[in-house]
Amino acid sequence: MEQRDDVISFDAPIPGMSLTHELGARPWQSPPQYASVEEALDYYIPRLQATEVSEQIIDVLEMGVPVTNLADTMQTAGVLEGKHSIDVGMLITPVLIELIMLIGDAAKIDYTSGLEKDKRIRSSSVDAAVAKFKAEAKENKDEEEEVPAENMEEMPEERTGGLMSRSK
Amino acid sequence: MPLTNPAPVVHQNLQMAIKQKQESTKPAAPRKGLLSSAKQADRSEQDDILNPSRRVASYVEIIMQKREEMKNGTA
Repeated sequence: MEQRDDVISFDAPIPGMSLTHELGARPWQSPPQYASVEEALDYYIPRLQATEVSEQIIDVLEMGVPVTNLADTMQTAGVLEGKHSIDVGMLITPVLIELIMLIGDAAKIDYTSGLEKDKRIRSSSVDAAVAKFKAEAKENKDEEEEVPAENMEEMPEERTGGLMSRSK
Repeated sequence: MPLTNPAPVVHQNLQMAIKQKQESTKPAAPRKGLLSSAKQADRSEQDDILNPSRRVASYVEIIMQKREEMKNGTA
């Protein structure tokens, strides 16, 4: 298999590393503490509102750490502690991003959201563009069908100059 | 390149879903016929409540509104 240059192979876990403990010994292998989105948010929101935590968040944002990285780190830590599942973590990530940006806006600091640099064309945006194009094409087609035939100008016939062409 | 931080993609997808929902939401004319189903509107509201991603979208919308109000100085 071709080795890619941008992947550092030595950072990857050793094969079988996940099997070095008994199944269920890790927190994320047992049922999560908070099963739903609301329960997980009830865990995070009071913590983010605490003065000490919000001050730390402001410090980290002022250092230039993107909001998205901070939110992802928070939810990953929650998964590792067995607070919630990865699915719930993915679902609450946008809420965490917005809450952290709210803290940054309230403190009136300049922060990096981390949303600006991701300008790759993704399948969902392509789908949206295709749907919009189809709708516009359908509208244009309907408009063309509505034009009455009487209004169409008679196009002058091109004269053919062949030997067998009919002369009037 | 491996995806190390899915947060921006998740956030952008949710933003797009919110925009599409806002565009597609049109006030439907009330049907008053004997055979019209009154449960159709209730069903879509129930779907919104049951689907966690839609609930999250509503939470994000609320927080975004508050942020906008804070930026504009209306809050």
